Amino acid sequence: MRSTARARTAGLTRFSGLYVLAIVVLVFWRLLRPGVWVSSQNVSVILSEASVVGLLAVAAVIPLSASLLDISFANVAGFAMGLTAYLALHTGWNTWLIGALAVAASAGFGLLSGLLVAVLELPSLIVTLGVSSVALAATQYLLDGQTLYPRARLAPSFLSLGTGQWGPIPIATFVLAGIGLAAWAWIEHTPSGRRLLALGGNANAARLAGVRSFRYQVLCLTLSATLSGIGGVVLLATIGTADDVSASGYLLPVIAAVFLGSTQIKSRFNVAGTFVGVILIQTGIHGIELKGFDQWVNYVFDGAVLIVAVIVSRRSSKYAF
Amino acid sequence: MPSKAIAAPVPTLGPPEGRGPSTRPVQRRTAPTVWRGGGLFHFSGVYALAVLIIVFAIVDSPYFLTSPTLKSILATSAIGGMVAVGAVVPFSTGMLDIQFGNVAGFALVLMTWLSLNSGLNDGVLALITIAASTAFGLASGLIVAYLRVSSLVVTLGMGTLALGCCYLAISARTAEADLSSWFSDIGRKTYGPLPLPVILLALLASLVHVWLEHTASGRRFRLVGSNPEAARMAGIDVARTQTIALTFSSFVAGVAGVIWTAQLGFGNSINGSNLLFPAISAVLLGSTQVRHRINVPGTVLAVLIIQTAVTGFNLHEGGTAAWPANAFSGVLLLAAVSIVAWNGRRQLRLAAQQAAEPSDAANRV
Repeated sequence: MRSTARARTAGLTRFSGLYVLAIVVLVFWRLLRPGVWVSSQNVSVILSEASVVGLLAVAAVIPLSASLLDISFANVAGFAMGLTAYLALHTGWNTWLIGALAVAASAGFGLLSGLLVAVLELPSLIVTLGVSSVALAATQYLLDGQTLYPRARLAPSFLSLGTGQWGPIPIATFVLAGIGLAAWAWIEHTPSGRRLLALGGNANAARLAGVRSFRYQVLCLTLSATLSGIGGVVLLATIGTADDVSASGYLLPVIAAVFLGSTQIKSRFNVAGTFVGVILIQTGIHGIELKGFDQWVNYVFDGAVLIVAVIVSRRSSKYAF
Repeated sequence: MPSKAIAAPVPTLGPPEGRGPSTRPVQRRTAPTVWRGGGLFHFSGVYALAVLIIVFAIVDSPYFLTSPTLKSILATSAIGGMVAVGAVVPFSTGMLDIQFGNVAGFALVLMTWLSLNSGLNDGVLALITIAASTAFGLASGLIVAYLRVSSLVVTLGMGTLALGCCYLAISARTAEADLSSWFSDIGRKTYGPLPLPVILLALLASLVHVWLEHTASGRRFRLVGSNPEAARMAGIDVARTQTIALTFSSFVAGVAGVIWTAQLGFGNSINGSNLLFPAISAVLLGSTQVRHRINVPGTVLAVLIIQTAVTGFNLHEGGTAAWPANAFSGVLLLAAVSIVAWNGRRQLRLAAQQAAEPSDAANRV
């Protein structure tokens, strides 16, 4: 039934995002002068911005595959960003070492969430909400209401992570591609990834079938926070400044991308679909920025896309059941 | 499947009913027995509050136990308390509402903007503002209830739309409101040590408490929250109840935003976002207090605890840093839910020792 329903829609539901993407590109291409929109420069900008969103989206998809909701990724990324900037300004340590420390500290937040969820069987939403508050508090404590400008103290090789390019493609996109490919291969094509999905599909059935839920819950929340930390460090390398609000702004586009992604390719949360969602949303946002609209259009676009995405995902998910 | 996973009942500390057999509800249901020991866990927040007050009174002896400090704690709690009390309704109904912070911020900005750009009476402006704020909740409610999609995501999107409207009105700057003096009094007047917004909070909390706990219509909300299927079979219109719950929360956020305008006298687009996390923490923290589920008195108690801790800490440090509010609400939330869950587990172990067959003890519940 499931496969016939899919066949009948001729991939319309599975790849609707790609169609929408094509329409968006065409519309903006018509609106703007030809050549402004579809240029390698624009592609670079979109990819560069999409890299951080993409890293955080992978961070969100991994626990969601196991039906754990992690909403701390944005504030954990902000913490990694703030900590890297703070250490760069206040110590003389190597930038890469500082970045690694910040990622490790972020992983600590994930480990804390994972242990609370797994040992005490607390709902992941409540736990990650609490951890998110703590991470935000830690960032605010470090930055003390200031914006830090550590660019001069960061190693050039580190900055090239965010601003460098190989051809028209930013280096950060290669990082994202590597991590995304690994996450995709793990979740879709290894026994342990399938166990994660089984846990997400029906936790009790998975447990009775011998899946060690404890291990997977800790693992995927820690992984999620680690990737969030990497996202935060890449964000710092991209924009070169750190404050306590810019990372929180990623909460919404990322969740929108992930939910949009759950309507694409597969009728569940999946890495490949999420990438379609990320590219779609970033293309839209970049088109809005190119048109010179104000900040508010961004928020309205984000909010509207999210609501439409979740309505569509609800509609299409009937194919999965 | 994705939406279903997220559309699961709000993760409260009460038994997550309607999820089918699982080991979780079994552990939670045994928890209240331990709590009965001296009300220690029912009212641990009251003890925590007392400890906080004593500690701060000793550490900052000349300053903490003074009427200005009390007023400051109460006045800052008022707006956060109102939105938290409003959020109790959708949370009790099994929905996650994360738009109310931005809706309150929207009301603050709209009221400010209207006072600058229209010649109408402030009372009329307040009504328009409250109506516009309520519309966000109504829209979310209709989408969540009738299209059956995840309340978390819909309210996240709607909250962002509200934020977009703030930026549309006043962009990123701070706008000074032009209010008549009677209206500003609503936010600034004090009766003895009590600021008027706190009296309004007490009034609102009492009304919502009586409604949810002691009227038939209020109990329907809780029934929908604990078991939507049973509620439907008992003849309750689940979708309508959910819509009303989300609408109510935004309505309260609108009222709180209007009072906030009177209190502050200016509006900034990002103000509302700062309300969200502490308020949700307070609602969830409150569910570990007074009753073994989300409830109004526990929520108000939690707001007061968090605010006392933050004010006391800032007084001691001599600053108004932003981080203590997030740190205290996060740490207190994690600590409270962990303690409750830990006790649930201990109780389960005790029950397992007493029962002849441990697994049977779990199945019996």
